[in-house]
Amino acid sequence: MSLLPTELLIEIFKQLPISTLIQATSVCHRWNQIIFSIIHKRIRCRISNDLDLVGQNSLSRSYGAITVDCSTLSLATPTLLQLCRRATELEIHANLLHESVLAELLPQCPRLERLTVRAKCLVVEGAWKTVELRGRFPTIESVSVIAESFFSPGQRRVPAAGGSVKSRKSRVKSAIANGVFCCWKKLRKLVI
Amino acid sequence: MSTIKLETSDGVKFTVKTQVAKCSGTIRTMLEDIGINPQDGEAIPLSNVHSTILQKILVWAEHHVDDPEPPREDADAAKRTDDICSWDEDFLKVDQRTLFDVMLAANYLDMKQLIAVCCKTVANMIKGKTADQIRRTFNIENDFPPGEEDKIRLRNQFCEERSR
Repeated sequence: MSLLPTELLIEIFKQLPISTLIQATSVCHRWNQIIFSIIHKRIRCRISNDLDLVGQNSLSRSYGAITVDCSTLSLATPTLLQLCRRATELEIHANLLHESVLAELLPQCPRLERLTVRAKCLVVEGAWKTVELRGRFPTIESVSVIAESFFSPGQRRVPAAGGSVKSRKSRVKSAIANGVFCCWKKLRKLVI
Repeated sequence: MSTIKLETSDGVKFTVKTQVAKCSGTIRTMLEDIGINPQDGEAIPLSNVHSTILQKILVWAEHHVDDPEPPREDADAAKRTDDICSWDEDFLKVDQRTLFDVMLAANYLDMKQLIAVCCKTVANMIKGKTADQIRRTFNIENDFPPGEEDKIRLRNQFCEERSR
């Protein structure tokens, strides 16, 4: 097997289903490298609170699609940044999400096309940090940020729906729409 | 029927029907583009191929010489490895070393159909095996630092194929 050049190994691997190939990444260093080079785009990595379990690895990889599912996401860990480096699709589901995580994370994902964020509460400290990233994401096509409530420290937590909050919600909405996402040229869909 | 001569790395000369030899893209290019004239009686040197392997490959080419051009495969189409014809299956029932030598030679000779059928055969040897079984099957050394394999396995549990 070691006689075969990379091009032939790739031809062999192309005949195999992704699930088999994912398993085969643990055969040896060479297989690991070759397989990831051909399939990373077609893999979704689902991570939850055991985020750092995933990353403690000298052969760290990044994947085409990342789904993060956790209760609180307040820090973009090196692991998360590493995983998302080549992602075209990023989904974040969190009870409590700090907006600064997005601001840290997004510049590390130069290929990102679709961003979906669902948060029970989106924490915004001071100014929107994501807003400062304007125009840096030429590849983004679709952004969906759904938060049930927004929270700024020092202010009362406000549910996004209902009564007097409406104006606040629309303020936030226009801040996002005007400040950030409208600068992303390919953007076609925006749900907030 | 025109024939040409081929000379292998170990100096053995084969006289082959031109049509059969042209199963090889490499030989086809030599004849058609570079203009090597087979009538000269001079053998085409195949310095990367041993006579035992060329012999085997010529048997394959002879059998498949009249095959129609395969349809262009869609790169994303679901792969099938169960469509190897029974003749090829028997033909490739050889020890691993020979199988890989045939692959290497087919690669050098640019014989896409033979490469494809060899790759499917090897893929079938990989399917349904654990990493450890794969290593034993192909005599591959586990060259990960200690503990690394477990971590890769652990991480792989979080990975799945993306739905389109």
